[in-house]
Amino acid sequence: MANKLTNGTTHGTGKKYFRSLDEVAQTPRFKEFLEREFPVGASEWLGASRRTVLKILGASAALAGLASCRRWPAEQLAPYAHRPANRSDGVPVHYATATEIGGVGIGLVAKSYDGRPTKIEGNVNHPLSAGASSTLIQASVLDLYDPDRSRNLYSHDKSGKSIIATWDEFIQASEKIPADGNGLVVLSEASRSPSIAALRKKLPQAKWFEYEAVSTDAQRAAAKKLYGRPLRAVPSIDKAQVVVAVEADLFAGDLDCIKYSRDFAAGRKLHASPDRSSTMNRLWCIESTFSNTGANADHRRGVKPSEVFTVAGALLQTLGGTPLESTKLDPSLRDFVQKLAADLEAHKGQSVLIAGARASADVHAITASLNELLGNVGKTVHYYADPEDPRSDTDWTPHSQQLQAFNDAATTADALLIIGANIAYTAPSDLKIPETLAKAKLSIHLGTHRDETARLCTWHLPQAHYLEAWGDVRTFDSTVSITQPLIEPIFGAKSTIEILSILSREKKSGYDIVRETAAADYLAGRFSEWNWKKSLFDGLVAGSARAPETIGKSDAFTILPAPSGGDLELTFITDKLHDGRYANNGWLMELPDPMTRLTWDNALLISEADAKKRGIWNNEIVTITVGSTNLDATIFVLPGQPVGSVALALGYGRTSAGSVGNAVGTNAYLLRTSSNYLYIPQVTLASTGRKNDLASVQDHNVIDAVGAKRKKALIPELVVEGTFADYVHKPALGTRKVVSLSMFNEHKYDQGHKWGLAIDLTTCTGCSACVIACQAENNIPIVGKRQVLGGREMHWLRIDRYFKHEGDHTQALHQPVMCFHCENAPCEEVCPVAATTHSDEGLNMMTYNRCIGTRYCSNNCPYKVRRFNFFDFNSGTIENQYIPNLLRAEKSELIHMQKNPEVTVRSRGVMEKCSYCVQRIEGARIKLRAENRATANDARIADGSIQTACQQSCPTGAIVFGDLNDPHARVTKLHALAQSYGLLDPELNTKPRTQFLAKVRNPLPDLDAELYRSEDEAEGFYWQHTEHSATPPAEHSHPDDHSHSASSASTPHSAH
Amino acid sequence: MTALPLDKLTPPRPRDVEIDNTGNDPAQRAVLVTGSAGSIHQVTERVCAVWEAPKPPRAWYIAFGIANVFLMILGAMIGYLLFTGVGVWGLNRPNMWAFDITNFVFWVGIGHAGTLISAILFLFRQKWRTGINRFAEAMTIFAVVCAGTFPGIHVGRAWLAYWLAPLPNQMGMWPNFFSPLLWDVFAVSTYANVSILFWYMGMVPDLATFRDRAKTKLKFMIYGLLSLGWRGSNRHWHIYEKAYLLLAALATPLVLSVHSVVSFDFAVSQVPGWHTTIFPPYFVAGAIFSGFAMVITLAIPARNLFGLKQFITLRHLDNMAKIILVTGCMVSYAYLLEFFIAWYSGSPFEQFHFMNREFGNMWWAGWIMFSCNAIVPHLFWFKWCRQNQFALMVICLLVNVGMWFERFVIIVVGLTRDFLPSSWHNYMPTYVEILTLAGSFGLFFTLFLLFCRFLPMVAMAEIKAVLPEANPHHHHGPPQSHPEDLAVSQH
Repeated sequence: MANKLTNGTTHGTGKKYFRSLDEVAQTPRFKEFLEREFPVGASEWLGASRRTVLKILGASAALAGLASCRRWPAEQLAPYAHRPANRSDGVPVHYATATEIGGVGIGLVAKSYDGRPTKIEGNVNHPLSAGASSTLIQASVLDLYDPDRSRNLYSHDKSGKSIIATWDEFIQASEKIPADGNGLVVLSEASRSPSIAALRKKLPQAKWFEYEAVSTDAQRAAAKKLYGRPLRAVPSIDKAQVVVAVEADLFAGDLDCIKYSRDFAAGRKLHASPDRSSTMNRLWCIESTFSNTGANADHRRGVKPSEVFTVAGALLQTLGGTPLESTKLDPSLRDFVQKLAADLEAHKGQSVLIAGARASADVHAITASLNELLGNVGKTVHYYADPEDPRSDTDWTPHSQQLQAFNDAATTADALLIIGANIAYTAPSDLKIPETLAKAKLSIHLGTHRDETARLCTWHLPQAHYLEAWGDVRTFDSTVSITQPLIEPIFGAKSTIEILSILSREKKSGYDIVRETAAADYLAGRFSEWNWKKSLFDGLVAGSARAPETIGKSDAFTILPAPSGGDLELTFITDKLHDGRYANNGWLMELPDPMTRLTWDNALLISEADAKKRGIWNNEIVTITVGSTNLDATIFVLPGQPVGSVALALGYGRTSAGSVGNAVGTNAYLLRTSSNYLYIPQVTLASTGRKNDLASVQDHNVIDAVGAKRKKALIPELVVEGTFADYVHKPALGTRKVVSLSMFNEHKYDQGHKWGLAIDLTTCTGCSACVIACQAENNIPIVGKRQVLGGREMHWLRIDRYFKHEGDHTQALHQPVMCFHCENAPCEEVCPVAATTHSDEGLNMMTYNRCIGTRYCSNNCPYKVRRFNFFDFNSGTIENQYIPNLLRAEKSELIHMQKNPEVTVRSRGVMEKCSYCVQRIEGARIKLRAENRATANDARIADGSIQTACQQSCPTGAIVFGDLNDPHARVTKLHALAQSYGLLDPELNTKPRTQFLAKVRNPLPDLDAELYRSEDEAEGFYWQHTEHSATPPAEHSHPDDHSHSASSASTPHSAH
Repeated sequence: MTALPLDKLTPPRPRDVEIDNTGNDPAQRAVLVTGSAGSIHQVTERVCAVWEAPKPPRAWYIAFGIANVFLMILGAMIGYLLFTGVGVWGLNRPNMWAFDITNFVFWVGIGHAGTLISAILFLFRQKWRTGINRFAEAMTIFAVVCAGTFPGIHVGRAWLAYWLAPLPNQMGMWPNFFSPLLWDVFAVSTYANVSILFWYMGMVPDLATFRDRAKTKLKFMIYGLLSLGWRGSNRHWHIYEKAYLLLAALATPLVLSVHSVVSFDFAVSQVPGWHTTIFPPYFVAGAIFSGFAMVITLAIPARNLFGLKQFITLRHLDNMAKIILVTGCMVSYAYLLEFFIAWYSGSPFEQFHFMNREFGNMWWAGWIMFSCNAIVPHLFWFKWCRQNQFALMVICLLVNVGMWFERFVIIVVGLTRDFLPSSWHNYMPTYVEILTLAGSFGLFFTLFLLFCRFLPMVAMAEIKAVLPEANPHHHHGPPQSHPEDLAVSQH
C-alpha cells in the first residue's frame, strides 16, 4: 500500500493530487509514517525474541483452532431503524378479539409478543367470558401453531389425483358457480356471525344447511313445539336457589360453560359473607353418566338415558303438569323426585331447570314447561331469538335433521360448499355422507385441517384461524364482538367470509366485509370511526345485545310417548375434544378428563356392576354390538356410572386429524345413526380378550386391599368436606389447625410481600381450564401417551379427583394441586446444588440453570407436584423421545412460536414446578416501578394487580392469589377463615402457602343422608377404585345392597 | 524350631490341598496358613506363582471374557442414557429414584468389608485378616468405583454433575451444605481416597517382590515404579508400619461414617420408610453383612482357581461366616425394630408403609429382602454351612440378593406410595436399568480379574509376619507341630 501511494505521487501520469505538503515533499516524517503501519504512540511490542514470537504465534493458532470447534449458527439481523409507534420489543400487547365455537361467540383478549399471539384470556367486559375462559379457549392458541394445519389449497386434477393449487386457480374454478349461488348447496358449521348472515343474502339461490354434531338444538326444537318458535333458553343460575341439571354438562362440556360456572359459583361464595349469613344454592342432577356436573351436585341420580325422560316426566307430573304416558318409576327414585319437587315448589321463580346437549327434545320440553310452571321464565330463564340462523323460524329443523336434508339436496346440486364441519367424520353413519361427497362433481371444503371431509372433496381451502382473520360473532344474549386478527395468516388461509365474498364475486377483504356489516347491522345508524374503534378496543359492540323474547303460555302439552330402553344403553358424551374438531390439539388430548382422569383415549364408561356381570374390567377391549354394527372400545369402570348405562365420548378415532389426533381412541360416530342420535337403547358387549392400557394420570397402579384401606382412611384428611347446615354452626368443618413449633430459624417477612394462594373447593368445579391456562402460560410440553402411562406428565397444576361411595350413591370431588410453596419446604433442604430455594417473598423458587437433576426434591415433596424432564420434551416429537437427541428430527418450529418468552423453556434433565407465575409478579413490579419511580421503594403491589394464570382463567373465581402481608388482601382474609386448611400441614408441618377452603355442599337434610353423615358417624370416604383386587365397598357397608330402598335413605345409617 | 525347607531351591509345585484348620483347641492357636505354604519362602513362591504363570487358568479367560461383555454393555447403556435422557429408565413420579440409587447403595455397602478387614481387624490385632485383606481391599475399591458411577450418571444433566463438588466458580455459588447428597459426595470420595491409599500402601512391599522377580524389562520398570523404591530396609519397615497403623486408624471411622452418611440420604428426608433414626447403624451393619458375603463369594473361586487354599483357609471362611451371622442378626433386629417403631410412633403414614412393604403392591420385594437377610443367614449357626464351600456360596449369594433388595425396598416401596394417594404409582424397570445393573457387575469383575492377574492377591509380607517362624519362641511353650507335617501326612 505504501508503494502504491508513493508510485501515485511520483511516477503517475495522471492528475496529481496530494494529501499533505509532507507527502509532496516526501519528508522523513512522511516516509516514516508510511513505513510504520501504526502512528507514533501506538504501543509497540519491543524486546520480543524470535522464539517468543513463534511461541505466541503457535499458541494463538492453537487457540484459534479450539475456538473454531464450535460452529455458530449464521444469523441475520434486521434491527428496527424506526420503531413503530406504541411498540416496545419484548413488551406484550393485548388485543380484544373473539371466537365462535358451535355458534357461541366468546369475547377474548389475546396477548401478543412481537407479533406472535401466545395466550388467550377471556374479555372482562364480555357477558359470556367476563375475563374467564374454558379449556377450549385456552387451548385454541395452540391450534394456530398446529404444524398439521393445512398449508395449501388442494384440488383434483383430471385423473382425480389431489394436487396443490393456488388461490387464483380456485377463484377461476369458483366462477363456474353462478354469482347468485344457484345450484350451490352449502353445509356450514353453526355460526351466528352477522357478516356471514349478510353474505348469505348475496347468494340468494344457494341452499344453506347447518350442522353441529353436538349442539343444544333439541332445546330449540322443544321451544318450537311449546311456543311455536325455535327460541334459545338462557338460564341465569345466579338468580336461582335451586338448580336442576338434566343430562347437562354445565361446567365442562357445554359451550356456555364459562357463564354457567360463574353463575353457579355466585350462589356458593360462602366466604363473601364471613358472618355466614349468606344462602347457598342447591344443585340437583339427573344424568345417564357420571359427569363433572354430577360431581358438583348436592343430590344426583344416575339413570339410564331412556329413564331420564321418566324421571323428568314424573317430576312434571308431581308438580301438576300434564300426565305422561309412562309413570313407571323405580321406587328408589320416587322419593328423590318428590323431594326435588318439594324443593322446586318452595322456590318458585327462584329455581331453574336446565337440560343439556344429551337430553332429547322431549326432555327439553319437560324442563321448559316446568320452568314455565314454576314461574321461572323471565326470572331465571330468558328466551332469545336467533335471526342469524340460516333456518327460518317456520321451517326450522334441528341439526340432527339438517344433515339429512343436505344429503338429499346434494344429489341434485351443481356444487357443494362445506364450511368447517367435518361431516365425513361426524355424520350419523346411516347417512353415508362420504358416498354423497364422493359423487359430487364440484365440492369445496373450507377447513383448518385437511381432514376426513377435505380428502373427499374436489377442493380443499385452508381456513384461517380466528387469530388470523376478521370476523364477528354473537354470544348468548346476542352481544356482538368483532374478531380482530393478531397475525397475518401463517399459511395464507382465508376466512369463511372471504370465501363467501369470492363466491359472490365481490372479493372483498375480511376487514371491509366486517366494517360494512357493522355499518349496516349492529352499528347501524351510529357507525363512526370512533364507535368502530371503540368496539374493537372494548371487544364488544355496546348496545348490541337483544332483549329477551316475551313468550306467552305454552301450547297444550301433548302427551309424549316414553322412549324405549334396553338393559344396556349407550349414551354419547362429549369431552374435552368437543365433537372431535380439537383432536389434534395436544394440550387437550393430554388434559386429564375431570372424571376419569384419562388422557389420550376415550373409554367405554361402565358401572362396576355391569362390568362384573360381564366379567370385564379396566383396559379390556370389548366389542360393542348394535344391530349389525360392531365397534371395539376399551373399558373404564367409572364409579357412579349408572347401572345399565354405558357412555362413550365422541371425537376420537380420527383418521385424518394430524400427528396428535390420528388413531387415538374409538370413533363413536360409527355407532351413531339418525335414529340413535343421542343414545342407543340396546347394545351388547363382548370381550375380545385384548387389552389397551388406558393412560389415566391418577390410577396408575392396581390397588390391593392394603392400599385401598389406607386410601379410605386418608382421603377425608386431604379433602375436608361438610354440609352447609354444619358450616353455619361450625365453619371449621373438621379442618385441623395446628400451631407447631419449629426448630428452624423461620423466614421473616417484615417488609415487602409474602405471596399466598387460596383455593375454594366449594366453587371449584374441576373444569380444568386452569390446567390448560397454566400449560399455555408456562410453556409446559405434552409428553404423549407412553409417558403418561409411565407417570411422567408435566402439568404443573393437576386436579385430583376423589370418589366417595356410600350405600347406592357415589360422589366425586376435585382438588387442584400445584406447588404449595411451603414455608418449611422439604424440597429446599435436600437439593445438593441449591437449585430450589426460598425467596424473600416466600416463593419456593426453581432455578433451572442450576438444576442438575438429582430429583431428590421430588422424592421429598409430599405433594408430588414437581415435574421432571425425563426427555427433551420441548424438542423432537412424542414418537422419537427414546432416540438420542443427536439422531432425531426436531419438532416443528411453528410450535415454538406459542412459547411465552417470559418463561424459560426447560431442557431435559431439570426439575420444574408451579412458580406462582413469578413472571407475572415481576411484571407487576416492573410496571409499578416504571409508573412510580419516585416512590418505588415504598410502593407495594396492590391487591388484585397480579393474577396467576390459573386464577385468571377460573370461571368461578375459586383461585385467589395475593400478598399475605397485606391484611386487606382477599387471600389474607380467606386464609383467616375457619374452613381454610393446608394440605398435610398438621402431619408434616410444611406450612403450605396455598390453602384450601373446605368443600361445602348444600344437601337436603333428609335425602342421601348416608353421604352426608357428620364426621363422627361417617365411615369416611371410600376410594372405590376400579381394579380387580378392590373389594366393592357396597358389599362391605351394605350387605343388603339391593333391598336398600329410597325410603330408608332418609334415615341416617348408624355406623356399622 | 524345626528346620525350614529352604534348601529346596526349585521345589516341585506343591498340591493345593484343603486342610481343615477350623478346630478349636484351647491349648493351641489354630494355624493361619496351612500345609506346605506355611513357610516364608513358600508364601512368596505360591503367591508369585499366580503372577508368574505364563498364562492364567482357562477359567480366568472365560470369566474375563464374560465380564468384558458386561462391561461393554454397561458402556453402551450409559452412552444411551447420556445421549437420550433419564427417561430411558423406568423412573416416574413419584419413583424418581430406583435402580440407580439402589445400585449405588448396594455397591457402597459391598465396599465396606475390605476396609473393615484391613483397618478395624488390624487395630484389633486379628491376625487371620492377613490371608484375605488384600483382595478384600481390592474388592472394596472396585465396589466403590461401581458405586461412584451411579450418582454420576443418574442425574438429569450428568455433564454438570461436578457442580456437586464445592468448586470455586465465577457465580460465587456453593453447593447446599444442608443436603445429604452433598454429604455423600464428601463421604464417598473420602472413603474412596483413603481406601485406595491404604490398599496401595499395603501393597508396596509385595510390589517390590514382584519387581525383584520380574523377568522382563517392562515388568521390572512398571513394578519398579509402583514399588516406590522399596528396598525392605529396617528404616523402610519402621516407617511403613507406622504409616500403616495411622492409616488404619484413619480408615476405621470412615468404615462407620460412609454408610451412615449414605443412610442420611434417606433418614433426613420425610418419606415414610426413609425417615427414621435407626438407619445409620442399620446401614453400617447391613453394609458389613453384604460386604463379607461378597468377600466369600469372591474368595471361594479365587482360592480354588489360583491355588490359595492354604492362605485363605477354611478357618477364614468360617470366621467370615460368623461375622455374617452377627451382622445378619443386627440387620434382622433392625427390621423388626422398624415394624415396632412404625406401630409405636402412631404415625399412620409409617404404619401404612410397613404394612404395604410386606403385604402391598410390591410385597414380593419385601419378602425377598426379609427372607434372604433375616432368615437365610441363620443357617450359619450350623458349622457345616460355614465350612461347606457350596453352602457358603449359595448363602452368600442369597445374602447379596437380599441386600440389593433391601435397598430396592427402602427406596422404591417407600416412594411408590407416600402421602397423596392420587400420586401413587408403581415402578417397573426397563431393560436399560437391568442391563446397567448387570453391566456394573461386568465392571467390577473386569477390575477384579485384572487385579488377580497383575497384582499380589495375598499380602505376602503380612502373611510372613504371622507365620510361626516370624514369632520364634525359643524353647518356650509346647512344641509346635509344623504344618508341613500335617500336609505331608495327608499326601
